[in-house]
Amino acid sequence: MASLSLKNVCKVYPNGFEAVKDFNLEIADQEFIIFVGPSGCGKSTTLRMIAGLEDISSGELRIGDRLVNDVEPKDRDIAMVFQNYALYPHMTVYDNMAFGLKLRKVPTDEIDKMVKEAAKILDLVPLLERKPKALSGGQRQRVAMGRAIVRNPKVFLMDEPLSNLDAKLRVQMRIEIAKLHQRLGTTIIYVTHDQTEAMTLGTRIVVMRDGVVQQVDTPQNLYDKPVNLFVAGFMGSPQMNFLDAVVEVQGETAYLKIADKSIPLNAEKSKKIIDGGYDGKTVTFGIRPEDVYDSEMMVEANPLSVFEATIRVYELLGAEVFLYFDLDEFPMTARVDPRTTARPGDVVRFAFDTDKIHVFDKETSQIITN
Amino acid sequence: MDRAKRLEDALRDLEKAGRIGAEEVQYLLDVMQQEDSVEQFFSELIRGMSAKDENEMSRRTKGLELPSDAGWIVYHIQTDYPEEARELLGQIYSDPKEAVFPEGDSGMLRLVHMAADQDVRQQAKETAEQIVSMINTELMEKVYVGYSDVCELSGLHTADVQAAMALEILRTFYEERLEAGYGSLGIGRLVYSIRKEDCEAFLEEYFGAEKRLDLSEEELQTVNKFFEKNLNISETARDLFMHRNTLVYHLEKLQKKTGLDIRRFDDAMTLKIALMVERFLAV
Repeated sequence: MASLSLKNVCKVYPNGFEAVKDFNLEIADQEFIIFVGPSGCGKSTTLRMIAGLEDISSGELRIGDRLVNDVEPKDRDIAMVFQNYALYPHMTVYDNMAFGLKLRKVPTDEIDKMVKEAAKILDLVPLLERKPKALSGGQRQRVAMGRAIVRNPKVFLMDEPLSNLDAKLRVQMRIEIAKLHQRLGTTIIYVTHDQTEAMTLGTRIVVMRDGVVQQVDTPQNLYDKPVNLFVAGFMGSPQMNFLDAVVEVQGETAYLKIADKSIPLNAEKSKKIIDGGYDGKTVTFGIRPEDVYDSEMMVEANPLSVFEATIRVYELLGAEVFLYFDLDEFPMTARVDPRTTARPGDVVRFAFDTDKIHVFDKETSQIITN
Repeated sequence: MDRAKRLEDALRDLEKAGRIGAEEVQYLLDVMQQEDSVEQFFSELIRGMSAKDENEMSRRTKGLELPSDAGWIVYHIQTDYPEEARELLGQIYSDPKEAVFPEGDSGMLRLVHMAADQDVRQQAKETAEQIVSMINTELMEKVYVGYSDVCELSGLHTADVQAAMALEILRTFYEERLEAGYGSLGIGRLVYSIRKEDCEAFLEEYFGAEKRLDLSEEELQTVNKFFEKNLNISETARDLFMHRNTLVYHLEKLQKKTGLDIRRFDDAMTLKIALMVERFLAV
């Protein structure tokens, strides 16, 4: 088990491509850290630098107290799991898990002990004599993880380990991985482009874009208090609604003018807008789909943020309904109760929960107030 | 009399056992030779032998039970630990119709693998990614993979050249990638095929006798980001955390230095190629 420290870590390739810029992060022992971001954001490169499979161009990487920039990957006491794993088709589950250790010339009795312990943790004991062909997708994935666990590493690195699985199996394996983290009590760094995986698994999430860390925070804080438009849009599905609004200040209250409506902000939000000198400026207004209501009760309770819109699309997901409509030519989504009577073509009254409004600087994309 | 008969019987039994044993040994030898022969056959085809004689090709293909209508892909695998990697990959790609073997003493490994029936490009890419993943996870070692287009058995020689070229171009121009197929090398393949004298002449024509662009790290970063953002000033400025006017100033400074205004597509293309040519000549 170990803590990790990344200080000003950069990765620049000789052709000038800068994959990771000034990456700073302290990871505590036993944390489950998620690197999330779109394809090409540098998350896998960062993981590979931690593994030692990519050289660090500048900065410091420590595992525990040890500076490991120049330490060989196999001497870093880490293990990796990738999405493109392969099981050895002619070997049993036992031999699949043991093979890496055999290559490392670990004594047979030690291998036996490690494999059996890992099999117990992963509930693979009854399957040890089976060949990969006789396993389900989830069982195969567990064997792949078993190969990492047998090494008893200080840190696990997982690079999109569930990406090749179907949706149902992914949900199952997500739960398995969360349980595994609890059982092993080991530090895990997990890369994914899937924000649902990030939200459900991580103790903290690192959101990356174009090689730059955008925000490091707990899943709840990332969702509730994004630091910029990118994080706000990336975390959450359906994504946060964004539209342009003009700020009007009257006394100590700031109003956001949208579609001929002036929505008053609460005292805290107003202060930040006024202090930032945004009076008269266009800002980006953000609101999550679940903070847009169509129920009469909520509409009555928020009379100053009510507006009408024509429903374009109605999407029933069982436990919830997504209503799609346009407001001031900006596409919007509301996540509402499945008992809603709204249907495409209907003109519906909606209300915002004004305490949940996010306001971003339109030029810098940075948050003004959450 | 009885003793003589018993000895005769014993001799017959011994002969029988010997025949059975010899047959077993011969069978094992055949099997081993057959396994060896797949590698041997592929190896000869890669060297351009065998393929010249159609009858010989057909006889050996049948003898080794290789499907004559299948497509094949050659992978070149570069790692510092080829022996361990060979042992590892030999366990995964263990079908008697495929082979993992070293390329002389170069430390390079080759995998000759049967192509999938459908979605060949994607499958080939996934196989290359799998090779990288397995060597990374099991051996904890760096690895790079170049692979060919699909070919017939008689085309393994050409496929091998393609795989070698893919790996070399990958290591020259696309250092951020770990695998590349011959068919996905883009402009890198084009630059790679230009004679070095022509490359030098091109640089001299644009950048004078020194034949160098001589861009600073910061300039290189700006240029790369500008290309990455499809010559979009606002997006590039945002990503570089600078005001768009500052970026415009930097681009104008670059224009004075190189004579190329990379806000124009033609000039951007020229600089992109020049950077690749410079890289090609430096390797």
